[in-house]
This record gives sequence, C-alpha cells and structure tokens, in this order.
Amino acid sequence: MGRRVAAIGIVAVAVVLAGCSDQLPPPPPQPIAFNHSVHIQNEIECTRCHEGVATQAQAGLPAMAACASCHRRQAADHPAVQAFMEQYANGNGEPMVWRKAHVLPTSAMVQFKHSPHIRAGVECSTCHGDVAQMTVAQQVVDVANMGWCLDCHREQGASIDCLTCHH
Amino acid sequence: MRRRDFLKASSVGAGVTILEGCRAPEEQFIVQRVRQTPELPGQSAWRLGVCRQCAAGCGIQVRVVDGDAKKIEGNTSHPVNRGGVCALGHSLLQELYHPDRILQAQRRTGDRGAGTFEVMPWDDAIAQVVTAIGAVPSTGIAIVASDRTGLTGALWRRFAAALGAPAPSFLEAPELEVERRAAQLALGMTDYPYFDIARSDLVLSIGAPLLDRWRSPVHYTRAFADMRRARPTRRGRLIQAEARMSLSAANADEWLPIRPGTEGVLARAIGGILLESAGADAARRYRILFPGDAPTAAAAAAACDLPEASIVRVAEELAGSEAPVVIGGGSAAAHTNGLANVAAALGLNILLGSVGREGGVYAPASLGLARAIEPAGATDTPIADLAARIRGDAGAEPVDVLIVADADPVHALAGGWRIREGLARIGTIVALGSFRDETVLHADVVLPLATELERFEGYEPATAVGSGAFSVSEPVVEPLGEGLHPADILLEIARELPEPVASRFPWADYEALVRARIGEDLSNLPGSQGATATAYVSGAVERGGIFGEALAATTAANPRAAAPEPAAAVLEGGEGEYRFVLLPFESVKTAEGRGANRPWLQEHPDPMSTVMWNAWLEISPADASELGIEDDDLLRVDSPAGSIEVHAVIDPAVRPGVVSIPLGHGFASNGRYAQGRGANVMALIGSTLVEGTSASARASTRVRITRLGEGELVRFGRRYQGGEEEVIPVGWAPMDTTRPSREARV
Repeated sequence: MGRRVAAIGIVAVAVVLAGCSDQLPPPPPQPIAFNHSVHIQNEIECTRCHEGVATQAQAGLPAMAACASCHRRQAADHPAVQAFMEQYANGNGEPMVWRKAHVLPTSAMVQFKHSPHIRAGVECSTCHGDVAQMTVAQQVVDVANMGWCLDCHREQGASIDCLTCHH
Repeated sequence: MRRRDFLKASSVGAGVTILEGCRAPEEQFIVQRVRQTPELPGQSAWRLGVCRQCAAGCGIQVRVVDGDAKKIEGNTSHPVNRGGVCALGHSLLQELYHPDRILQAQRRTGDRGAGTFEVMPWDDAIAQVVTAIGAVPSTGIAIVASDRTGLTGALWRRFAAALGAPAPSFLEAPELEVERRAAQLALGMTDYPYFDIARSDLVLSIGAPLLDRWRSPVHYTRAFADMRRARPTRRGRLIQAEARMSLSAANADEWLPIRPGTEGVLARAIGGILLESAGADAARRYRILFPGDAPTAAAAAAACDLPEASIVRVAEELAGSEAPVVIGGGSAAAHTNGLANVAAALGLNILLGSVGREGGVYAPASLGLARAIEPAGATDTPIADLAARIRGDAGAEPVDVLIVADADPVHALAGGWRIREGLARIGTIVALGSFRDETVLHADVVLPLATELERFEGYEPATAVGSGAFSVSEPVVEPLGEGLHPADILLEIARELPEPVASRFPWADYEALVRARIGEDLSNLPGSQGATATAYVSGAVERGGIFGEALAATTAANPRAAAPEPAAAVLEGGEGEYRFVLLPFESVKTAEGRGANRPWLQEHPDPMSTVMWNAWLEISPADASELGIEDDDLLRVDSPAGSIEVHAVIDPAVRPGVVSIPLGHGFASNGRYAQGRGANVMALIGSTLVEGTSASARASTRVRITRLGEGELVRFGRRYQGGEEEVIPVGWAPMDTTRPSREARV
C-alpha cells in the first residue's frame, strides 16, 4: 500500500513537473463548442471577429450581438448555435464566459500588445497556428516561453529591452 | 503529517493543478459581452458606417466606447468624402441620442394633429397598416419617400406597382429635378452629371452653390481644395455667378452678383461669344440646342445687371483655359425659367469641349444594383401631383391612405400647395419617422426608424461622384429602440399583404436584399474577380463599400432637340405691392430642416451671417435704411401665399430689391430644440412651377416687408446681458425677442 501511494506520488509529481514545462496544455473546455475551421471555410477573416488586433492591445472577442447578427439566420439549427442564441436572447444580458486558449501568467508581468505585431506584418498563424484546421482554439506555440518571443524579436530587429514587454 | 499522507495529499493537489494547466484560475477567463463593445471597458474601437443625413452618402467611421457612439469622422478610403465630414454628419450623434426620438411604434389617441400618441406593439402597428391598405382601392394609396435613387427608392416603386397603386413621389429639393431635366436636354445624360472640378483650371458655376448644401458638399469642397492647391504650379479658379452671396460665392475667386432669374441670359451671351471661336462640330451641336441668336454682351449686361466687360472677360477666360467647366443649377434652377437657365449653362460645356474630358463633365456613374428590382417602366409621381391629390383638386384621385417614409412634406413643401389643410380628408396617414415633425404630428400610425448607425446599410450616393460607389456597413451600435431601416419596414408590411404583393418581396430583410443583389451582380462589380459573394461583401464591409475604379465613359453630348430660350422669370405678387424678390436657400446648418432639432447645428453660426439658434432675413443696407430697419429688428414678411415673422440681418453683399431667408426653420413641431425657433420660409412660397417641369419654383415669389420692432438675434462674436451682473459671452442667449437693451454688445 505504501509503495503504491509512493508510486502514484512519484508519477504525480513527474506529471506535474512535465505539465509545468514544455508540454502545451490541452485546449480548455469552452461554454459553446465554437468551431474555427467552419467559420474560416466561410471566408470570415480573423479580424472580422477579433477586430481589436490591429488597433488595440487585446485582439478581443466580438460582442455576442455580432455573432447573433449572422446566426439569427445562418446555421440556426446547429445545436451549438442554438445554445448560443438561447443565451443571447434569454440570458438577461449575462455575458458568455470563455476560457482563454493563450494565457500569459500575471506573475510574468507581461503587457503583450497585439497591434504592434500586426503593424509589423506578423501573421496571425505565426503564433496561433493554422487556425483553419482547428475546431476549438488551442495553443500550438508556447507563448509563455520568453525565449521563443526573443528569438523572433532578435531576428526581426525588434526591441529586446525588458520594459518593452514587461511592466 | 506522515510522509505517505503528504504524498497522497500532494499528488491529489498536483492532479488538480495539472487539469488547470498550471494557471491561476482568474487569468483564464475572457468575457464576451452581449452588446457591441470592445473587450475592455473604456477602450474605443472605430467602426465604419455610412452617413445618411443627406443624399450624398459620405462614408464615416464612428468611435465606439462601451457600446456608445462618441465621435464621427470620415472614412478616408471613401470616394465621396475621402475622410471629410460636414456639420450635419457630425450631428448624426445628436439624432441617435436625441431625447425626443420616437423609439417605439405609436398610434394617435386624440384628434389628428393634436400630438397625442400612445405606444403600441410593433406587430399591431404593422397589422394596422396592412389592414388600412387592404381596405381601400389601390388607386387611393399615396406614397411619399425621401430616397429617390438606389435600392430603397426601387423598393417603393416596386411596392406601389405590386399594389396597383400610383407610383410613389419622392421629396427632394425641387431644383434637383430641374437640374436633371436640363442635363437630359443639354447633354443627353440620364441624370445630373459629375463635374471633375479637381482637375479643372477654370470653373464657372452659374447658380450652383457647390460648397454649400448642394448635391455632395463634402466631395465638392475637397475637389475645390484640390483644384486650388493640389497641383504644383497650377491653381484653378472659381467664378460664381449667383444672385446671393453664398458660401460658394464668398470662397470664389470672383463673384458675379447676377440679377436673380437672368442666369440663362448670361449663359447664352457667353455662348454667343464662345461660338465665334468654337470648332465647327461643337458649334453645330450647340446650335441644335440653341438655334436662336444669342443675346449680345451688352444686352446681357443690361438684363443681368453685370458689367459688360466682365461678361466678355469671363467668356474669353473660358475660351483660353485648358480645362474649363461650367456648372449650372442651384438658385438658377429655382426660377420659373430655371430649366432654360440650367440648360444654357450646361450647354456651354459643348462649346468648351469639356464633356468627357479631364477636368470637365462626366456622365453619372452607377453600379446599377437597383435596376433588377425596379418595376418595368417606372416613373415617379411628381410631388406637385401628389399635392393636388391631397388638396382634393378636381380630377385628382383622392388619397385614402398616405404613407410617408422619412420625409416631412408638410414643412418642406410650398405653403401655396396647402398640404396641411388637405390632410384632414385622408383616411389613414402612416408615418415612418423618428421625430414628431410636422408630418408625423398628423399621422395615425408611427413606425420609428433606426438611424444609419443602428442598422445594416447599403446605399448608393444620389449624386454621382465620378466613379460610382455603393456603401455597405454593418450596425455600429445596438439599436436604441424598435426602429428599423425604412426598407425593412416596407418589407415587413409587404410580406403581410395578400398575393400578388407578398411574393414580390422574397427577401427576409434589407440586409438579405443587399447581399442578394450584390451576389447576383457580382461579375459586374469592381474587384470581384475570383471572389465569392460572401467574401466580396465582407471585403466591402471592411473597406466601407464597393468603389468604382474609373470615371464613367462619357461621349460627347449630342443634343436632339432645342432647349427653351431663357424667358424672363415670372414672379408671384405684383411689384408695386410686393417689392422684394425672395430667395430661399439651404444653409449648411439645417439643410431642408433635418438639422433643426439638433442643438449643435442650431448653435453652429451660419458661416455668412453668424446667426445662431434662429432663422433670419438678409437685406441690403440701402433697403434697410429706407424702411428704417436696423440689425436684428423683427420683421413681418408677407407674400401672396402666406406670412411669417423673422429677424433682419443687414448684409452689404445683398442686392437691393432682393431678400434671402434660409430653409429648415420654423417648426411648429419637431422636438424641443427646433420647436418655435425661427420661421418657415416655405410658408411664403406659392404654387408656381418651373416651366417645363413639375418642380416647385422656390425663387418665384415677391414679398413685402414691414418692420414690427426691435429684436435680438444671437450672433457669433457678441455678448449679451443676462441678468444684472451677468454677461453671457458669445454662443448662447435666451430666445427672448422682447429684450430692448443693446448696451452690453461688444
């Protein structure tokens, strides 16, 4: 019994250590099974929904009203669409709460801004992967790995000063 | 704790942490708000939209913070305005958030015109309209709307045709109809042309105030700036021949203060001089248009009250310029001889060879999206005929159901047409409108409208701006009320009507119609190669619209028939009793009345007279001193058709014998900021039409002026005595015309 517990313990610690390092986390569970690839197949550009990306720090999510403006009619019989429209129409203004696929821990004190990257011509897929192949959004690049950011900054001649990215 | 328990506990704890991916819980969530707003409070986003405050249809961008529209600027990519916005466009925010805006469907409760309404469910309102339409013979239906061109106008025509009702009437400045007819006559064009003044080096505008509220003010203002300054070493000139010193005349290089109604004589005289040096083909074509002898420069000088030397010099300048162009319209079109005046002006372009040439005149370009839904053989009912029906003239079909869509004919039409009296005879009046203006006041059912920021918009500018454009925009803010796009309301009504009407309107809403039309015409639209309809519309939304690539191909004008020779302008009212010629004009503040209920525009000083918060009458110093009138005095102005009271502005740029009053004031009803302010000059205008057209001749009235007493006008740059200790600096003063003291004026 004791050995078994110890074994579980060692495995658990190992898994913990593994999970906290290079392994990318699985896509987080979302309130609605949003399918990126279907939307991209319908020729909706990234910036159509994530419109803050070129002008603001946050890429942002579209307001529920923006989704509703199409989904009032489009794919209205799809269960995910119905669940969404149910919340939109009858939710008393309650916002939909999603989980971020790309998280920068606050302990890192990073102020990541999308707009300078877009202005510099960085493609969405560079950091977010081939979203057209994804249903739920998931991380493909470890955005919490500072070395990965610095490599590109060095290559492109962008600032590597600490205060550029950190508070 | 024992070691095994510690390991147990830590393994369980670690397991939980793995499942959360090593993140602290509060970092993982991202909130999607219900309303249209960027993610973080206080952050702003700029969204593209279309301004529909006038027919120009400029592309705008709107700053939105927390779901509220905060500021309007121009869309720099849009060919109509290229980033500019006029005062009326900026004031769109005050329409959106106006405290007097009607947000829900309403029905009348008291007597018609008493202004008592109660809220009713939207579906009941639609049902009431449908019932009313069904209960009367289709010949008894009358429709008046404001969107003559484009998809909405086509939908109204289709609606009337499907019902078997008379074709709709469209409320617009009557001069626009005259200008269109003249362009057909003189240049063979289907609509009023586009003037490429940016690349011209000499522009002669006969009557057309291109920098005021005429056609596409922002576009032409920018083009005027380009004409002057955009080309190194080449500075264009503007010569403005206009009876009144408008903003355009004030900005022109030369103002010819022509006697009102004689614009055609000037144009013909210039034509006579140009004929001498014109090419044989141009001369031949011009003579088809004007076979008679042109007046001599001396005769024109006498008729127009201009120096003969000026007339000759202008003609010589035109002949000697590389890229001259002549524009005609505006006040020249407002007299009984307006058609002849404008045709004579436009005809000069034939002699100058400026048709289809850089810096000249171009045929109006259209992307043609409305064509497929127009009913065959569609012609509109002239608004004069509609007025005859409403008045109950003999031989005119009575009106049982009147549908008014986003227009205020009671205020905007000539008093001499007596629209208001005729309303009592109409069975049901349905108004699509957002304010209780003078027409909505008399409605039985009111269906509110969404502003252009709250609705999907697809709009083609009514005035050509060269290369054709169709603006497309998604809603910028959430709708404040129940209101919809007027076309959406039309579609809702049409769908409830029995066959054969309902099936003629298969679109779910206006957005579906616009998308369908773009999809069907895709191969003809610019930049559509290889794109699907969905992607193309997405691209249009992101850019602000579908923009044509080149000026319309324009062939030389080939007149088929002679235009009327400019005869003397006829005026209502004998010269003995009614001494002054009245020139109404659209000021940049209120336009035809749309801006009157917005405090920003009321506060906006008129560029020429600096008057704020009121209407005014411009009179020359000579006439004023003869009548004992001083600045700001209250006057009574009488014409054969009516009478108003208005304050005087003494202006040395006014021709003796002529007075001018701006349109768009004097609302008996239109919200708290417009009500009771100023006077409605249209009450003075009689029923005379421009010859050869069905348009009202707005400058065909003589008036008599009587001084009533001292008064006070708020003018930019003055200070007013508020109370004993209080001096109110410029910009605001109470609407109190009985105040006697002027001591505090600076």
